[in-house]
Amino acid sequence: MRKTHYQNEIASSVYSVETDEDIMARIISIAEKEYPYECCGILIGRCDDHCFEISDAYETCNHERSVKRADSFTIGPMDVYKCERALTGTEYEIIGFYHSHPDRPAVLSVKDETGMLPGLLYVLISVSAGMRKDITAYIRINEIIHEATMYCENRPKG
Amino acid sequence: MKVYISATLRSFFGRRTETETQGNTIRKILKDLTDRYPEASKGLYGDDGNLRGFIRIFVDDEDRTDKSFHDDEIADGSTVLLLPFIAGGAPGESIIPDERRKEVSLDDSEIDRFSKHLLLREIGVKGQKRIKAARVCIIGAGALGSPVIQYLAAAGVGTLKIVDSDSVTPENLQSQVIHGTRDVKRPKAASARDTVRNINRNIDVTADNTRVEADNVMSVIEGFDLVIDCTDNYKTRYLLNDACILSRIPLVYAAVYQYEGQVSIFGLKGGPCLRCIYPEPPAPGLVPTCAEGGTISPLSGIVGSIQAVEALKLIIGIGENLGGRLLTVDTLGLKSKFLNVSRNEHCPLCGNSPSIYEPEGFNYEEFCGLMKEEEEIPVEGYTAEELAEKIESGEPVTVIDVREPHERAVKSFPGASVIPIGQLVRRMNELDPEHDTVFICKQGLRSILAIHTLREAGYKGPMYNLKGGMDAMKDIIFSNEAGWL
Repeated sequence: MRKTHYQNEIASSVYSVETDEDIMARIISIAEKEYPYECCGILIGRCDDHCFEISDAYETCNHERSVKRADSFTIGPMDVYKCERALTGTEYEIIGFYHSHPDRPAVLSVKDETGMLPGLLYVLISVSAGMRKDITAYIRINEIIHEATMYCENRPKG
Repeated sequence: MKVYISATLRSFFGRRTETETQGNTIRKILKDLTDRYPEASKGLYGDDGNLRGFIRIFVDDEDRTDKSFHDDEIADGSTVLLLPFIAGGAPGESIIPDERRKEVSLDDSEIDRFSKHLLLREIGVKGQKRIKAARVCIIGAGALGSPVIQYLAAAGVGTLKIVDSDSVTPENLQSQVIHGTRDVKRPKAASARDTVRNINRNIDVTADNTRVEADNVMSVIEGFDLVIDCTDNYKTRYLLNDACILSRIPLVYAAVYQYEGQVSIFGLKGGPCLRCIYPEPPAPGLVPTCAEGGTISPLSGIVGSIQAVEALKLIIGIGENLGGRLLTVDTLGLKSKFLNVSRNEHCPLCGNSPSIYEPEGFNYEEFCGLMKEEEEIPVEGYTAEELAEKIESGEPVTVIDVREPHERAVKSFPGASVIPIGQLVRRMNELDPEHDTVFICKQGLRSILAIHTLREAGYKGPMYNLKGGMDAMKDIIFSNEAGWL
């Protein structure tokens, strides 16, 4: 358990994330490709109270000003809207977002914590010298931020 | 009105994505929504009553989140979208590398002393260790240096170097709060060092009494993580800028004048330097220094404190710093604003094809206009003693005081005619070209400018400058005007 702030304490994890290697490899390759800038995107899948299942990842444009892209990201609200519309009628929904931290650790920054929407999954990828270093996942439930345990398996398709 | 609510906001509105609401403005729609979903109100609005940063409201394709749109009537058939704004980013990068941080530790007394820092999530033990590991060089222990040095010492910066070649004078005490009355005539660097030791004896503090020149500036700042510009003159300011850029040391810059100040950071990766913003300093005499123009006492406290905060943010690696932005503070109108400043690719120092590689390589006197490149007729002048003697002996001398009215109110020159510098050319015919005319100002710089201005305007009479201005006359009392000082 990692204590960071009296308001936003990170509690021990009862949350888990399940995904397969293909999706993770895709997110990692995007993060490495965008280095030294931050990449960002939308995570699609299903979730229940404690388990997030990532079925797909959708890369979005980092809308930050160019000088800020090395340590900031912004996903345009309309990108989220379009993605959501495309998912209408399917069994999937937006379950969270991912972004990378070039040359910085995969821990939530103050900016990250301030912008976190409750109930959604935030996956962080730290990239050092163009190579993936670490991947973490966080969820905010009310004012409390939980680190989720990630399970990544090579699942058969379908 | 039909409102689409993004499913990502489900923790506020449940899983409903489309809903019919009462009202034809954003304000009314939000009111209706929060009435129906009382829980959403806490999620949508912060403690200050404003919409939280992660909420965006679109009407059709237009972002209408800003409050100014909330009372605009929405046309029938429009779609109102309540969407998330997803943003964040990596934690800031500290100028103190992790290896340096790991080399230091905090003992019990330090944990006690810096507990207010340790309580801050962004600082914590790691941040405090970075502060302790930091080596900061402060150039100038005057008005700006006073808050900078004291706050950095109090914040726990482990190594401080204070560079100033001046000594404390009584007039310094109005704004240079690091010195006290008993420090008058002591070197400023030593006086400031003693104040630092009084704050925290564990700080490794050095007082350097040398004057920063082109040939020593590189060695003065060598080995430091950060340099703070607390100087009051253009020459040192350009020297420091050049040396910091060449040494790749970030520089926290500030300047104050009368009621206004400005702060920025130079030498950050991709950011501008002083020469990108101000390629050349103004001509001498055109802009008075603080010593001549004056400053309101707490101004340098405000501006210097901002410098100290920026320095700590760079050391800890948090927040949004002033790299690429110039903050201006106007204490009279109580206004402040940011000016975006960017690196100039043609900058001779940090541009794409720089021409400056060594601070020794060029003449600062010439650059700063202290030495005129064109053949300007030199201005003849009198010292204070010579002028006093002339007046005492009864020689006919016309004295023109070019100072502003409020300056004359402090100390007037007996028998002088008053023509403020801006009116000189217009009122040239009030001068008698057949007689010697002596121009006076506070420090003898604006009077030189006055003489040049009149020469350019075609005045042919003999003109003399009072060297050192009224300040130099301070200790001279005319026998016939014993009470004038």
